[in-house]
Amino acid sequence: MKNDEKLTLNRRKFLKSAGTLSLGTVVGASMVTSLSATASENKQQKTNYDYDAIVVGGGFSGVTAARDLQKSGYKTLVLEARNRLGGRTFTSEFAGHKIELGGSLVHWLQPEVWTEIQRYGLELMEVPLMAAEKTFIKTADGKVIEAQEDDMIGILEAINEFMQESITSWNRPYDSSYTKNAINNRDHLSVADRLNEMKLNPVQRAALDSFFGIMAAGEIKDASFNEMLRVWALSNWNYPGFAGAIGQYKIKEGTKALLDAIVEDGEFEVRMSTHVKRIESKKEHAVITLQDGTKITTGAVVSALPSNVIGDIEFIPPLNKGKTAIFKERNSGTNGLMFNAEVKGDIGNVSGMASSSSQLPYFGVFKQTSEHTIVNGFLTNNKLDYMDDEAIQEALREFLPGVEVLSSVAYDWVNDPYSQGAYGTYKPNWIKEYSDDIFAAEGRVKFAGTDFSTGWRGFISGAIGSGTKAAQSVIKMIG
Amino acid sequence: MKKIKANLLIFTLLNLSAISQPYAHECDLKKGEKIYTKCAACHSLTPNTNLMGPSLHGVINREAGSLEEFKYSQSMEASKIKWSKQELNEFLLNPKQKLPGTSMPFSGLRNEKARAAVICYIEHKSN
Repeated sequence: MKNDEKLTLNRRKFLKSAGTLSLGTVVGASMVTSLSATASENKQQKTNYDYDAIVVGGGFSGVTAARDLQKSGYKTLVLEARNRLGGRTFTSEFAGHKIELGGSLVHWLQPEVWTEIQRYGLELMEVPLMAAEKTFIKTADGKVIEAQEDDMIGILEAINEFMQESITSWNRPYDSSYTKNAINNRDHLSVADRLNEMKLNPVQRAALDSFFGIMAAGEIKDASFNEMLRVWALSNWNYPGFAGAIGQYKIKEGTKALLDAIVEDGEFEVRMSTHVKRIESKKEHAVITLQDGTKITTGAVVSALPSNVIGDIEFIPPLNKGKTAIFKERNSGTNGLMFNAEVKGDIGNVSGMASSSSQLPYFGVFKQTSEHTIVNGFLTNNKLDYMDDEAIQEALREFLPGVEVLSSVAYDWVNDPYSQGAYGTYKPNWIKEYSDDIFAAEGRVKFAGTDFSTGWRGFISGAIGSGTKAAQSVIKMIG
Repeated sequence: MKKIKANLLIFTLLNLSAISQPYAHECDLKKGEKIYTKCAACHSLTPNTNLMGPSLHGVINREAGSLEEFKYSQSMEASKIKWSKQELNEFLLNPKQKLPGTSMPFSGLRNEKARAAVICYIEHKSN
């Protein structure tokens, strides 16, 4: 059975000279600053401030906004707190393979990232994450079964039933106002609430709990039902599109290849390891104060920060009610994480599913060789010690008795002060209560970042799309 | 006020019990190399090569925050820690508890032997 049926820069000269290594976009801040400053000095400025625009945060949304602004003739600076770009993406190496430690999944149904992949001529790599030959499911009573064809059909039927409302609730998935009443009527529901409305057998229940938990990078009680309907709509309301869009392709050379391409193309200035303390909007400009007290003036600011982090910066005037609320309430992915484990031998293309409240809600195979198998595990809570190889082995052995974990790696997004969680979705009631505030500009500040995307929220595509929109808004504002 | 004092006492006791874990003084280099894969995305063992985190070549007995070309968190720079094996052992157990305000995204290695192995491996690769 085919996968679809079953589930239905080169190393750029600029970054090389800045001392980039193969792991992540890690560059010497001063070198980047001086190199890019030369480029930006050649541009005519549009305002009389230090910079026409400043982008706070160097993830995909930030670098996209900066590229679009700089290429449009606006002198642009990116301020990044870490000493690498990429935000919640991170290409690395493990057990002889190029791996991703964060966001990675792309598809032509994700239009914003697909446009960039095409623009820079990057290749795709198919991954078997969503197309396992054997799937093991742990039900609520603790038993693990190998799913048979009837089980898989039952799961697909349950997903279709779960998503029934999507066509009416999200007839235009980028525009919640078009079907506002339908969305608001159901926005109080979590995924768990929706599952409780359905009559599911134990296998269906465990599989859907796992599946939507992974979508939310959190337990399903914290994930908005509407958010799942929206992703289904973005995938053209069918399972093959949905499974392909969220789990079939990665960028062959890694997310870093796309990041590097955007950074090189943009020729904007970057300051790494630079912590922003305050963003103050004035009538015609903004002032950014760094942690060391340095003040920088700019015509406009693009905030490209995760929603779980945004409140750590002082905004003057203060952030509106909706943005403040989502920062305080935290998105569904606050405890979300993915690990890569090297398992001895070829264990086959297998996957495992369990409820999102269990210690290992999902795992799938990323790479198989005769010597080892690289398993991607997805976590939605803090029950598994992902830094302990023995704990990971024990968790995998619930599904695959006897497997031996040789080593593992995870990037600790949960404990990274600049992410404070993985990707995530909105919680119940957020769309109804806060969405007008979330997407609103405030003073001289426009908001970007995948958490502030109206499209593929939680995905690289959402980040890129929000960056593009923010840049255009800044251009309109400054003129 | 009594409740605050009681909470402080509990916190202090938890803190002490966590960071007073002894260094295991074992040296399993093979295990250490495997454990180091958790560090390698952010830390190089090559001298003068900083990635997302500073190079760990020669970190043992080095002063915290002392590599001039690396920009550390304020708390790391101000810590005055000298990275003895015992200090590293305590830090790796729970970085945020040992050094509040550290920007290192790492929840810690709970396994005592894993910590000893990776410290030993770092020392070995520094020679």
